[in-house]
Amino acid sequence: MRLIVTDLHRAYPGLEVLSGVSLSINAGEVVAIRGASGTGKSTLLHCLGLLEQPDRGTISLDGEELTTLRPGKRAQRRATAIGFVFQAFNLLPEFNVLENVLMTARTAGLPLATSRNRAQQLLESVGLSERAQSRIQTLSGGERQRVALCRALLPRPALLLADEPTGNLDPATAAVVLHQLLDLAKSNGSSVVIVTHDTAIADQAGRRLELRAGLLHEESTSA
Amino acid sequence: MLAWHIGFRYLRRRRAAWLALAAITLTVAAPVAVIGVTQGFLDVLARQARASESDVTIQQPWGGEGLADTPAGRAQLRAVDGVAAVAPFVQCYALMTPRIEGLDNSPTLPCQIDGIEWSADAALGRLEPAILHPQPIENLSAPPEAPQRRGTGFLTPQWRAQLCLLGAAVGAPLGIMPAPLPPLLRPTPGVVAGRELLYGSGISVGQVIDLVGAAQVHQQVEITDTIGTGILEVDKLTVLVPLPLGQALAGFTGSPTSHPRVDGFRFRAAPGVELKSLAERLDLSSGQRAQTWRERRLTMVKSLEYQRNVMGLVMLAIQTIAVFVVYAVFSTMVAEKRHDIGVLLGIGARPGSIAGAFLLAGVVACVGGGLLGWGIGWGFLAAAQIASHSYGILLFPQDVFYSPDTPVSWDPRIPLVFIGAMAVIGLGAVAIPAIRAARIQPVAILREVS
Repeated sequence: MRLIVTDLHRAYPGLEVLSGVSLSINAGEVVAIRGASGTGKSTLLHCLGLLEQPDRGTISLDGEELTTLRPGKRAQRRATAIGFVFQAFNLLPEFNVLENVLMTARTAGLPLATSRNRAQQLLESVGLSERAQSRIQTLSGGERQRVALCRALLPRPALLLADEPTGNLDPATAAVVLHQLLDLAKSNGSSVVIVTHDTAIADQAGRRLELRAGLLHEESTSA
Repeated sequence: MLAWHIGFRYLRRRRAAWLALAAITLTVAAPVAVIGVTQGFLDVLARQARASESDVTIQQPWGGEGLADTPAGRAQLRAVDGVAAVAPFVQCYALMTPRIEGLDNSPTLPCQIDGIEWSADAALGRLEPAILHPQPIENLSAPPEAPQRRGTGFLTPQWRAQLCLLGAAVGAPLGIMPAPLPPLLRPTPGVVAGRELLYGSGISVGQVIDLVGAAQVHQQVEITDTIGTGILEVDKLTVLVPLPLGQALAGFTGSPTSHPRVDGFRFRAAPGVELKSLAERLDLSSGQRAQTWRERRLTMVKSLEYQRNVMGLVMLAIQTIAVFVVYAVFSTMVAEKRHDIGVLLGIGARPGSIAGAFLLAGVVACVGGGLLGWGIGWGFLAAAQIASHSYGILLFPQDVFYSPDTPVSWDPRIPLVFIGAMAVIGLGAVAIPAIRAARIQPVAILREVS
């Protein structure tokens, strides 16, 4: 998998957020994007995740141009090739843990029987196999984020996008969750883009970028 | 299927969804019960009309010279394709005066003579046992006559006894019966009177009355039995008399040079024969105007049909009120689940699946509520029927509606029509919030919570 972003522009009325962002990510690569609040990190992530349409520029995944896809096709790519982990977990309270994890299998149209096995495996790998039938409301923040991680990785996405994945967690839990995220992404072969304020988290990535004045700047890495 | 999975879960978990279900249930149950009763009245009316009408009737214009009644003529009519039975009849107005002992000036009542051949009419299915010697409706304190006091068709009890004596007279020479026999009497002819004509006038079965027909012919007759078709105008006026007597009263008796005449013929159609086309064939064959029973009772049937249809429209209007509840409930549901919908769209759910989830939930609510309403509506009808039939608790005053039981139609098309209407209108109401849900921008939701 190779993600290539070229000259991406995105502006809101009176404010240009992305001013020609270009980026290339190889298969299995982990990229951290840092930046001050309001610099457009989430906007870039939403554009990469096909949730937001850029004003200009291209995003291609394995040579397929994604910005020109019709909404239905974009939703399909989102379901099959891109996984999301949000700061606020965004789990569905109507459904239990296992059903939440399986939701991406349903959106991607994957067979439920095999997906159920994979969901169980993923939950086991994050230590939540015993909580498969639990309601979301009974889980702690760290557990919820691990469920969200399983949900994102269930369809084996080529690209995993994480927006402040540990932003709502205490440092100890955050470290565990981040470790599991990177481990699972690696075993899955997914490329990872993490948007974060946290330098410690960014240090875990193989590559660090900073979004400043609408452009990405490479940072030196210690990892 | 994602839409089903989400839709059913939302429907099950939302309390407001139960409100929508209740609204749908009630607005299906009410029309099922109301139209069930209205259609029941129509069915009863049709049944009652059939008790006094044949499938098809040929009748000369009122006051005409009459139609010749010859064996060849009847055979010709019976040969018409689709005719199963044919029976002649004579109709005329007459005055009846009961002979009341000790009363010199007995009241004279108008009545309508229907001269028939009993066996031929029975073959038409008109004189079914159910309509003979019925319980009077307007005067419930008057019980039906005991069988031994009633005649048999036009045979009075005396005539019946005479026939037995006649049989005995035949049997005596053969040594079966002892002789000598009592002398033969000459009892009066028997007639069958409408139950309300009889009981309403204080006349009873077995009483002798004088009939004066249109031809100024006087005839003394004995009332052998009562008949109740269920149609008040018939039961309050009709006196069934033997055909020759009817012809005499109407002045239709034959002469040495001419055949006796009749007012017309009644026909029974063979099974499966379409009545309208049979009427057309009889029209062509006889040269007389032939009418189906429905055409002869058109005003009455049509008026009830109009009432039923208007009531149906009112019920549909009530259903649209329930649709507002459905719309409000689903709009609230979409507003409440806005975040979840945004997340689902964010993780790749297609807008069509989201809209489908709410539409499916709407269909389930409409059809489920509709089926429940069907059960409740029919349950109410069954209870009303049991209450009136077994306990005498009347839903409708019988002196107005002329029926002791609550008339009910169990035609499944009635609930199906209202469930179908509810599903269509309900789907229309759910479509708006469903489309609104599908148009939610996931980015806006994700930004709100981040």
